[in-house]
Amino acid sequence: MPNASTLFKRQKDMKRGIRFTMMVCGCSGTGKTSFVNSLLDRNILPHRFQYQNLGSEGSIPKTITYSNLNGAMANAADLGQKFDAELANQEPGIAITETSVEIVDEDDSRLQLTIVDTPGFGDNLDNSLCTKEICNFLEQQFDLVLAEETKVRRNPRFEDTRIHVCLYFIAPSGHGLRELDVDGMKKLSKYVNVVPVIGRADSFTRTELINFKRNINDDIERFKIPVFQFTSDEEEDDPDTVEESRFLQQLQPFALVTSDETATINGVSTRVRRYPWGVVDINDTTVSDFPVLRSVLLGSHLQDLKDITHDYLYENYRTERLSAVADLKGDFPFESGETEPPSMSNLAAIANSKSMQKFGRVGVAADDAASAFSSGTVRHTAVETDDIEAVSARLANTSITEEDGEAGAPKKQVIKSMLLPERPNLETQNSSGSGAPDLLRTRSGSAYSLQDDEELKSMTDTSEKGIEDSAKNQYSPSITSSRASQNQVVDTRRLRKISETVPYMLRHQTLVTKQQKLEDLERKSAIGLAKRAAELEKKAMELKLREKKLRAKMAARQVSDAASTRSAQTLTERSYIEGDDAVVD
Amino acid sequence: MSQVATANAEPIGITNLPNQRYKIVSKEGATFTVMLAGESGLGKTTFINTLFQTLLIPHQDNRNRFSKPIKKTVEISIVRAELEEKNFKLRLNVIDTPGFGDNVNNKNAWQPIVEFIDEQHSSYMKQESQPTRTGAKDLRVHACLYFIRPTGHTLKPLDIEAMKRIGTRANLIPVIAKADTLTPNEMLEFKKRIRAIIEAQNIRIYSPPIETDDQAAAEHAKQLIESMPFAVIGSEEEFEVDGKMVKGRRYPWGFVEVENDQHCDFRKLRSLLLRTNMLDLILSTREIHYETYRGLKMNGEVGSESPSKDSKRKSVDKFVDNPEFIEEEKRLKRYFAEQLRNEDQRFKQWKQNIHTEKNRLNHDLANLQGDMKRLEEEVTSLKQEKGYE
Ligand SMILES: Nc1nc2c(ncn2[C@@H]2O[C@H](COP(=O)(O)OP(=O)(O)O)[C@@H](O)[C@H]2O)c(=O)[nH]1
Ligand SMILES: Nc1nc2c(ncn2[C@@H]2O[C@H](COP(=O)(O)OP(=O)(O)O)[C@@H](O)[C@H]2O)c(=O)[nH]1
Ligand SMILES: [Mg+2]
Repeated sequence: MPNASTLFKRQKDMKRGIRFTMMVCGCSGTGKTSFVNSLLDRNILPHRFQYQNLGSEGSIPKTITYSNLNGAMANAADLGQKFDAELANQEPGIAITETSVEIVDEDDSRLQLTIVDTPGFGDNLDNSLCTKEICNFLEQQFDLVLAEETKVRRNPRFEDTRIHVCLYFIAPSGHGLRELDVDGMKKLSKYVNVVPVIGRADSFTRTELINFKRNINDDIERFKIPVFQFTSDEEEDDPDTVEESRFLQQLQPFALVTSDETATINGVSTRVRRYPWGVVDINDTTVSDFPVLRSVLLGSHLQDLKDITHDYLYENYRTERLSAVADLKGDFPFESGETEPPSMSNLAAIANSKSMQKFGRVGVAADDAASAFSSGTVRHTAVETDDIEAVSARLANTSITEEDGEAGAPKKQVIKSMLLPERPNLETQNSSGSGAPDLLRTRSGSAYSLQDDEELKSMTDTSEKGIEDSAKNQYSPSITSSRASQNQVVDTRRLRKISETVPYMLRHQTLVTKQQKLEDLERKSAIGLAKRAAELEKKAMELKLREKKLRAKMAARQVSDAASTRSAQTLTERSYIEGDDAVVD
Repeated sequence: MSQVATANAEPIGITNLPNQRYKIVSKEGATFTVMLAGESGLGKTTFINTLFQTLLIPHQDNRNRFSKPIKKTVEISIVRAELEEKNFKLRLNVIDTPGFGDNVNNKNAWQPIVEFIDEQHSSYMKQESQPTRTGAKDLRVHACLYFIRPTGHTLKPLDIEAMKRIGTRANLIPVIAKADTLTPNEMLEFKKRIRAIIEAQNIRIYSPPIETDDQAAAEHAKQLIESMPFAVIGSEEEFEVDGKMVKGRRYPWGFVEVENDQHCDFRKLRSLLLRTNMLDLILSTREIHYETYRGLKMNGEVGSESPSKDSKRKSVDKFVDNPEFIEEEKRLKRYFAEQLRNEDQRFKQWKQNIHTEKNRLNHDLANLQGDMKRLEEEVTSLKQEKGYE
C-alpha cells in the first residue's frame, strides 16, 4: 500500500496550493477574531454581536457542530450573531465553526487557509464540556484520514481536515494559568500542536508582561503541558536556524496585540489600537509578538506544523488506536472471518442485546468506506482481495476502540442517533449530496457529497447478500465463488465499522430529547428487519427450489447448450437484488 | 491583620464623611465594609490599594501561587485597617474574594460570597439581641464592587448569576476592570450592553439618591448614575509628570492616569464610595437589608419555600434555610426561657423571704405579748402583796 498522506499532499499542493488549518481557542473577548483579521490583514471574521457590521471582505463562519449541556437550544455560534440582553444569562454551550480563505502571494503561490473557531469556550458556568467537544472534533478529523487511508479506492476529492495548529488564547489576568487553561491545553495537545498565546497583551506594562510570561511558563512546566516547542538540532541545523529556534522558544508564550483598525505609520501600512493616551502598533515588535507569530505560522514553521501533525500526532493516534485494541480481538462477534454472523431470523432477539448496536450499524448503509466496494462484487481480482484483507484486519482492530473505555461512550450515542434517522431517507440524502439538511451536514458529508446511487446500491447489496450467504451456509448460486463473497462480507463490515465513527454531529439536546424515541425506533426497525429477513429467507428457499429445478433442468439439458444456463443464472441474480431492495428501503 | 495606615500624599477624602448630609457620625469615626467580587486577575486587589493609597492587601506572590492547587475554592479574605485623616478615623474592612471564576466548573462559585454577606446580617442581629451591645463586631457589607472583565462583548452567565444574588443582599456597584484596555468606542458600546443586561435581567444595583433640595448634589448623583458601570484603572505606582507625582500605568505607547476623567471613572467611583455617598451606603445597608430582614423575621412573614421573584423575600428565605440561623434562633429562645425561669425563681425567693419575715415578726410579737402577760401578772401579784398589808 502506498503512503497515503504523501500522495494527498503532492496532489493538493499542485492543484490548489498549500492547505493549512488553524484553530483558535480561548475565552470570548481574548482577541481571537481580531487576531485572525490581523493575520490575514483582512477583516474576514465578524466580531461577536457585530455580524451586521461585517464588511465586504468578511465571511460568516460556517457552524460545523455545536452542543450545549443544558438542553437549551442556545448555540454559541448563533447567540454570538446579535446582542440580546434577555439571553445574556444563557450558557452558550460550545460550537465549532470554520471559515476558509485563499491567500495568494505575489509570486502566485496559494495558501488555502481554514480557520476553525470555538465560540462559547470558557463562557459557560460549567465548562467541562468544552474541551471534550473540541477533542472529539479533532479526533474525528484523524478518523477521517484513517478511514481514507485504508480505502482501496481513494476519493480523489478527499480533503484533509486535520488541524495543524491550535492557538490557545490565555486571558490577560496577570496571575497564571487557570484550571480550564491547564486542562484544555493538556488534552488538546494530544491531537494538535498547541501554541499558547497571550491575548490583548497591551493590558500589561513591560514588567507585568515579563512576570506573566514567566508565571505561564512555570505553570506549563509544573503541570507538564506538552505545548509546541521550537527546537533545532545544534549539530545538524545551520546556526541561523538554531538561533531562530532559541529566540522563538524563549519568546513563548507569544504576547499578541491585534486590531481591526488599519493605519499608516511612517509610511508603512499596519494595524493599530488607538487610545486617548497613545497608539499601539500591532507590528511593533517591542510591544507585540504578533508579527513574529505571523511569520512563524504563515512562513517559517507552516510545514513543520503540518509535518508534526502527520508524522507525530496523527501517527501516535493511529498506533494507539490500532494497538490498544489488539488484545480485544475476537471480542467482537462479527469481527473475524471464522465467527459466523447470527441467523437473520434471530435478529429480533438480538435487537435488545448490546451487540445489536454493532449489528445495526453493520446493517445501516450510506457509508463512505463501503463505496470502495462499489460494483466490486463480481470484479475483484485476487490481489485486491488480499489487499482488502490486510486493510480490514487493521480496521477491525481500530473499530473496536469505541467500545472501549470512557471516551467512546458518548460518541456511541451520537452515532446511533445519527444513523437511525438517516435510514428512511437514505436515498434522498445520498443523492442530494451537499444539499443535505444542516443538521446532518458533516465534514464527511461534504467531502463525499457526490457518491452516486449506483454505488450505494451495490454497496448495500454486498452487505445484505453477504449476510444471507453466510446464513445459508454457502448455498450460493451466484457467479462469484462463495469464499470470495464471504470475505467481502466480512471486509465490508469491518470497513463500515471504522467509517461509522466518522460522520457524527454533536447535538446533545436533540440527543437527550430524542433518546427515547430513537431507542423505540431502533427496536421497531430491528423487528421490521427481522420480519423482512424471514421473508427474505422464505424467498431464498423458493429460490433454492427454483435453483434445484433449474439445476435439474440443466442436468437434463446438460449436453444441449450452455446459453440457457447463463440466462437462468442472470435471472437468479436479479431476484436477489429485488430482495435486497426490500430490506433497504 | 489590622494595620494603621496614614495617608501621607493626597488626602483620600474620608474627612468629608462627617460633613455628609446627615452629619451624625459619632466621635469614634465610622466603620465601612467594602467587598470585592469578580473573576481573578481583574485588578481587584490593585484597585483597593489604589483607592486607599496604601498597600492594604498584599499581592499573592509566586511561591504562594505554587502551593495552591489548580482547582480553587473561593476564599473570603478580610483585611481590617484603621485609616486616619485630619483626626477623623475610619475603620475599614475590605473583603476580598480570590479564586472566583478560576475553575472549569464555576457553578455556585458565588455561594461563599453570598453566604458571607448573609452571615454578617445574622451575626449582627445576634449581637444586637444580646443585653450588652457594646463592641458589636459589624462586618455587614456596605458596598460590593463587582469587577467585570473588559471583553467589549457582554457579561458572562457567571457574572449575571453572581450579580443577581449579590444585588439583593448588598449595595452592588458594577465596575469595568482594566479600563485602559478598551478604546473609547469599545467602552461606550460595552457599557451600553451591560446596562441593557442589568435592566433585562433584573439585577439590582446601587443607585445614588437624587436630592431634590440640593441641585449641585442632584447633578452629581445624576452624573454618577450615568457613569455606571464605572470604568476603572488601578495602579500602585506613581510617576512624575510635570514635577508632580501622578498615579498611573506607564506603557511604551503612553501614560494612563488613574485620576483623569478622560481616561476612566476612578474619581467618580472614589467620590461615591468615600466622599459623597459613604453614609448613604452605610445607612441604606442598615435600612434596606438589615431592616427588611428583621422586619420580615419579626412579623413571621417568612418561610415560604416557593421560588419567589421578590428579591427581599429571597434574601430572607436564605436565612430561614440557613442551619446556622436556625441554631441561632434556638439559642435565643433558650436564653429567654432561662431568663424567665430566673425571674420566677427570684420572685419565689422574695415571696419566701417575705413569708419568713412575717413569721419572724409574728414570733417576735408573740414573745412580746408573752412578756407583757408575764409582767402584768407580776404587777397584780405585787399589788396583792401590797393590799394584804
Ligand atoms: N486591548 C486590546 N483589545 C483587543 C485586542 N484585540 C482585540 N481587542 C478587543 O477586544 C474585544 C474582543 O476582541 P475579539 O477579537 O472579538 O475577541 P474574541 O471574542 O476572542 O474573538 C474587541 O473589542 C477588540 O477590539 C488587543 O490586542 N488588545
Ligand atoms: N491594564 C491594567 N492592568 C491592571 C489594572 N489593575 C491591575 N492590573 C494588573 O492586573 C493584574 C492582576 O491584578 P490583581 O489586583 O492581582 O487582580 P485580582 O486578582 O482581581 O485581585 C496585575 O498584574 C495588575 O498589575 C488596570 O487597571 N489596568
Ligand atoms: Mg487579588
